[in-house]
Amino acid sequence: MSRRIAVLRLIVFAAAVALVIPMTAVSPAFSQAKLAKDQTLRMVIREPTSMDPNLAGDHSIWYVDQIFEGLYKILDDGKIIWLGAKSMDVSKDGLTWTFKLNPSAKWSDGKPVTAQDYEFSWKRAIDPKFASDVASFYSAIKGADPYMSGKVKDPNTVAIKAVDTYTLQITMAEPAPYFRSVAGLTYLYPVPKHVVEKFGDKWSEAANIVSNGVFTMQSWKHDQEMVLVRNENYWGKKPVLQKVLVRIVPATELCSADFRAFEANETDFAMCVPTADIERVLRDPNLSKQLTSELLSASQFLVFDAGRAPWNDTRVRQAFNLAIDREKVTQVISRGLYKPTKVLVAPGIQGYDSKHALQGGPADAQRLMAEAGFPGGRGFPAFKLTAPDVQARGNRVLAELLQQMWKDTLGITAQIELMEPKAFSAWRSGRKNQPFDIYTRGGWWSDYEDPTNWYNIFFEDGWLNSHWQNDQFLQLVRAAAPELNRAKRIALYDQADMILERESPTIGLWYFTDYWMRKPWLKGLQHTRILGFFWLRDVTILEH
Amino acid sequence: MRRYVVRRVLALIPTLLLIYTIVFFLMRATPGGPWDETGSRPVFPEIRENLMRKYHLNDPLWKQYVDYLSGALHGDLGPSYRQRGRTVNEIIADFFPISLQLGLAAMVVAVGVGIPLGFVAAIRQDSWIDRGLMLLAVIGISTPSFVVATVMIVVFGVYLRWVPTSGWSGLFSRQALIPLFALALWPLAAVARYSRSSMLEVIRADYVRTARAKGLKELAVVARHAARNAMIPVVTITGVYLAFVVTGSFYVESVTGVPGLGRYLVLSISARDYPVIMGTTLLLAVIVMIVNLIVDLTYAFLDPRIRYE
Amino acid sequence: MNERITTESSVRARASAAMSADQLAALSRGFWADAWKRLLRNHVAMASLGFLVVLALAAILAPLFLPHSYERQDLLALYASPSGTHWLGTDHLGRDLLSRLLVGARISLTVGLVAEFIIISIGTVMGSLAGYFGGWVDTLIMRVVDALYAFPDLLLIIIVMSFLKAQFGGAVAGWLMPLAALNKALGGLLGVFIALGLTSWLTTCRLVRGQILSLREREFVESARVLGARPGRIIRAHLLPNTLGPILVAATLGVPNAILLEASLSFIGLGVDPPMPSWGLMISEGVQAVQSYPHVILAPAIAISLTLMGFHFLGDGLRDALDPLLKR
Repeated sequence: MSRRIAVLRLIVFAAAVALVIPMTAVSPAFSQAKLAKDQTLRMVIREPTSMDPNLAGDHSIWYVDQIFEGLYKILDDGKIIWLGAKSMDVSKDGLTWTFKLNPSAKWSDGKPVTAQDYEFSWKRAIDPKFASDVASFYSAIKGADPYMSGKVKDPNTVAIKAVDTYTLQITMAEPAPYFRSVAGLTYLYPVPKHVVEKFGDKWSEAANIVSNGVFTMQSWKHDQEMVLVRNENYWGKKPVLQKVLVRIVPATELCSADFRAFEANETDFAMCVPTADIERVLRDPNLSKQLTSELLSASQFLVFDAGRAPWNDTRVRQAFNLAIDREKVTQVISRGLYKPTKVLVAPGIQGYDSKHALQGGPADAQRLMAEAGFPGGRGFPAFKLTAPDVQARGNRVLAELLQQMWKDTLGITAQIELMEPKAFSAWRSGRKNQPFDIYTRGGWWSDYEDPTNWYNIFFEDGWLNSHWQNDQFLQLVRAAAPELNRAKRIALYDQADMILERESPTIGLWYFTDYWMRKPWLKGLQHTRILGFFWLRDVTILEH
Repeated sequence: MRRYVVRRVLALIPTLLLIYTIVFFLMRATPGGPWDETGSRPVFPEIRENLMRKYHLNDPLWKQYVDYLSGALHGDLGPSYRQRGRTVNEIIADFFPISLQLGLAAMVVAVGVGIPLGFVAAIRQDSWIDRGLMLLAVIGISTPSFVVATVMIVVFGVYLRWVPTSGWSGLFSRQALIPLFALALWPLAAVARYSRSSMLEVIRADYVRTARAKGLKELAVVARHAARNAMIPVVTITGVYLAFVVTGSFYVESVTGVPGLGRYLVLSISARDYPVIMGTTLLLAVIVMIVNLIVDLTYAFLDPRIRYE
Repeated sequence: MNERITTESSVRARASAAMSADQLAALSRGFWADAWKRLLRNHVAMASLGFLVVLALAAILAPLFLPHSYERQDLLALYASPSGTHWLGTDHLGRDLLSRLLVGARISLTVGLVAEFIIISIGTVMGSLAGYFGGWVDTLIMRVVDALYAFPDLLLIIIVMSFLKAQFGGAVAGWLMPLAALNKALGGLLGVFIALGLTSWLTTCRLVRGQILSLREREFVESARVLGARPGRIIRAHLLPNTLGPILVAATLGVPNAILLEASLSFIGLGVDPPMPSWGLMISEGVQAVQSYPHVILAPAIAISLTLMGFHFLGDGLRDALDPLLKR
């Protein structure tokens, strides 16, 4: 581990500590308190679209994660907690990965979790007839891509193999060091072969479901309520929590319903505070102690069409970048709970360095615009700022803020174009060869903490459609992705990031945080930086 | 009469076909498909292709049009795209009864309270009772239901904690009070206004005056002569609102967390969940038409001079 | 009741048959003058009319006297309470609520009036055609009306709005271009008008058709026909003036529905484009802050209630004034 990374970790840790201070400050006082008799946690969620780990690709993973477990879990500090596996062995060439499974792991019906279950699940996830969108996480495995796209029909060509009951072996198409971060994700959790074969599509309904996590599902009334209970067949330490009572509310009203239920003392834990209510919470002596803001590996950013004028002029992009007052933006959008950033990628991703950020302020922005031939904004063509109209992510407010800031500093007025979310996706995918001006899609969350999940997807795969061409940058990220030498890999991404920030084809605005409310009697709830999972396995409810 | 009903039921068929056609093509023409990314992750082109194939979205449009229609005629409304493993039939079976119960209950409240209020206001025309009631009615009509529901939740749920802030546990639970009231308010106000004006007209009619002149008590006059005749416009307006209310109010259901069909449908539109949209629209159309038919038949019951042939 | 109407109208019909066209016009003029007099005596209706006129003037003249711009943000004064500088306080971006309320009044009143105009035009034309010609024209129109009646209103509107929002959102080309330009000029509300136009003309259509059906067989129409007047003229000169009363009442009562609908659409993000305010948008923004900053929703909610009340009372007043039964 390089020193730089160590320093980085320290920074992240310090940031995390600063954010969690209200929590830690009160906890010692309660540490001697007695446990409540009724160990039930109450919370509010939105309806999972599926509780099948092979299908859950959206917010459903949070709930799948409560009742299922995978090979291992990587904590925020990078440590591996072994769960379904006991060990992992990667061959010298980085191609063959062997997992020794945990023989004591059981399904909630008492049957053992075997390598055959894993083989079955993973091949099921990439079965073209099953057509699951989590299949993309398997694409590094040899034979996965041709099978997924239907070019090869035989599932046995995919290099996922149960060597014996407790040994799982996979072979990669080419070295893929990032797979370490992927193998423990919910998308690769196993499903019980015997149950899936028996019930088909309906196996994940409450009446049939069998799971291998610390909890298991007792009931699920769609769009109303879900009840999770302790899995008495769990192989490891069983949770103190006996029951999780989940109320399901409509997605459009999730945030306000969640917070109101918390305020009315109907729940012990809320995952959201509506923006308009944050200030009241911060001012309230009791509520403010219950609020924590937990950093996520996720950022909000803007994308330019760097392939055409005037956006192909680096100075214009830099001017737009420097004209934004991020402190003010996060203040309005989240009352300062989101963390302003001038760089694109999130801390924890190799290549991240806040020092790469473009230096300067509004005056420099004006100077750059003048240099580019638009003094005071004169002669600048009309342009659009496009965003999907997703209320929860504050896109509308962000667009209105940027419009004002650019107008004040650069003397030009963006035309705001808000699109219905699905129409926006269609529009955005159509930008592959089509012109645009500036868009924001409402952020990007790391699926796993690896630079390939950012630099390579964004620019090598060209998924951002930013039309930004920089050969040096592309060579660097292409070379870095399969690099097995960790230090070398970091150095490559570091150089790439420097170019990226200097060139500003994208503008980082803030890092998302989860702002959670917890009742004082709720202890041991953990947050993960990746996708904001909440870990209920160590939760206890104190007497209150 | 029977022939009339048969003819009306037969008229359902072309109407349903027209609605199906409109919705089918309108949805397909709307940009953004069911598999365009909505979360935070790119959908691989191969996977998209697999999904399109799985749900036959690569077939020619006319084939999709015919296939879904023939499935629907056989009672199979197709699978949901958004919630994999669930079918539209199951979704409707889950959510429609809740919207229906809540809607019918709201109409019972609206009619049960609205008509007496309207009649009282009419009989005491221009008194302070009349003015007060009508002012309330106009306020009721002019306040959006999502505002009413939100304010009630904040006041009675968060501050007073008399009722839970959201959720559903059956019609006869405290949770149902806020959605019931929010849903009933608008039709209640409308029914009250219509009953008042139609009662006023009836009271002015000669035969009522004659009855009054003969010395019958006010109440008896109203009860025996006026009420039945004053009901016709009220039935019309009730029908209009009944159709509106039992099909589920998206607004009330969203804000109060009632798992009804109205809210589900709107979510399906934004997810481009075609089968759910088609299936529910057809169901709702049938219901609206049945309600209209019942309303028309009620006229005949209320006024024997109206005959259908 | 029914008996009386029949006698009265047949007497009137017989009288009008005996009259010349001039006399008829004079009678009709007298009827409108009478109605206007009756309306003048209705204090509630007149007060409502006064309020609406003042509101419309305020909305039109707003830019001349407003101290703040409706789109100017003050990020240091988010959700400010009412004060000397901001009489009604500010919103989530620190924008002056009074200015937004008055500019929003334009949008909301425009939506109400334009939508109603569209509804009345389509409804009247369709209703007259169906009522006058009868036969297959009537059958065709009424089938379409029945079909649209069975369409859950809000659903159709949401589908149409999603379609239009999505269509106009991206790069627009071809035949949609002029429509997209029009949409932009209307602050993104073209969809609301189209959606309302599609669903709301049905009631007017039925109303007009019913009226025309009952008038069509009257003697004065018969005589006009015998004298060789063409259908268009008969409808315009003889039939429509006699149905104007009910249409007017329906229109006044329909405006509030359009305004409310715009509010509901704003709530699900299908309303005006930013930074344009509308009352509906302001209400749905206010609902989100109702717990912490109740003043934000108060102003638009009161404004919308008062305006809708104004239209309702004016409509009631018109109905009373135009009601022949009240004519003594």
